[in-house]
Amino acid sequence: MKCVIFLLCALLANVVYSETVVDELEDAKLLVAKNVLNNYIVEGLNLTIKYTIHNIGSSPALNVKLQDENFPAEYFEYASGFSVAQWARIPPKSNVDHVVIVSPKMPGMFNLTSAVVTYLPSEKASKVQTGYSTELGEVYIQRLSDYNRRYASQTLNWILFIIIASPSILIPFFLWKSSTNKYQKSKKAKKSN
Amino acid sequence: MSAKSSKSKNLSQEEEALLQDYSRDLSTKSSAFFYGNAAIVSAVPIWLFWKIHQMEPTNNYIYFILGTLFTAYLISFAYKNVKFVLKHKIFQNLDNVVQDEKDKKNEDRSLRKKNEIAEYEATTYSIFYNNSLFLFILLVASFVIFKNFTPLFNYFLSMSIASGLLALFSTSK
Repeated sequence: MKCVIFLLCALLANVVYSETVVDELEDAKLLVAKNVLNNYIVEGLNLTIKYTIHNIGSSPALNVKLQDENFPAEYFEYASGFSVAQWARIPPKSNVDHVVIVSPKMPGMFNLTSAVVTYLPSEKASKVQTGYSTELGEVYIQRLSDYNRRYASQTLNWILFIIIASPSILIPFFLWKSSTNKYQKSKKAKKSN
Repeated sequence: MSAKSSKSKNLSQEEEALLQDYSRDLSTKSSAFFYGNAAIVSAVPIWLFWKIHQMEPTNNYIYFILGTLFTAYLISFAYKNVKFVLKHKIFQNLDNVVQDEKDKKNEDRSLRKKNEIAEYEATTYSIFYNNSLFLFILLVASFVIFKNFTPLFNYFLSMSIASGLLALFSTSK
């Protein structure tokens, strides 16, 4: 009797699980990846953020809206793109990208949090589904002067330094040399006489 | 009495002239010349620290002025010492430049001429030598030894070490 009850319970759990998995696969499911494409994050320089939305479900996602309030106007300036992006439909088993270029206004530590995506998981669905992108955590925005000191090309500055420093070395050298040569010439002239 | 006093005055004037020639002390003109050159070469690194180390002059002008003045003093000290040592070496190597050496007057003129040439060559060579050494030590200190220091510490340490070593080396014979 106990065995029969146990078997019935196992069968029921399997059916429920199967139905649940089928439900999840039938509806759209969006996964959002938020990536920083720069190697360095520098004050005043462009920072490229790429959002990739993958629909791993079997249904198209409808009325997809991606919103990222992570870059407020007092700390960042939008150079390209917007904080909100919308798609009417993301087909199943596909992905879309959204790229935003911002410019940090001040250096220091900054927390890069998640973007929010809302969508309808199926045509029949009336309840909006909400999802969150990956987050990058705290990042350090370098000062422009520190970045230039470490990584910027300084070739022109070195050439100009050589031009500025040369007179203080070359002029005394040529004066000394001309005097020495003049004396050497007069010495040779005397010896030949 | 008056003839004797004028003779003693002449001798003392000659002695004074000799002392001036053979002492380390510089005339006002020479001092001004050395200080001017030292100030110029001390100001050259400001460009380096402004453009490459990103030290803005508007924010750091006080430090630049203090650094330049301190370094210029030490460099002019080095100029004076090196010039003094060189002058005697050059003087000894110079032949008489005036041909007729029979008269005492001509001998004096010859010595004066030699002294002028030695003074000139020693001055120019001292400036060339010290400027080259200063810039070399500064570049090594600033871009190798103190590379990872903050720009302000880099500036003070590099300038102090470059000018300090210059002054130190100049005291050797």
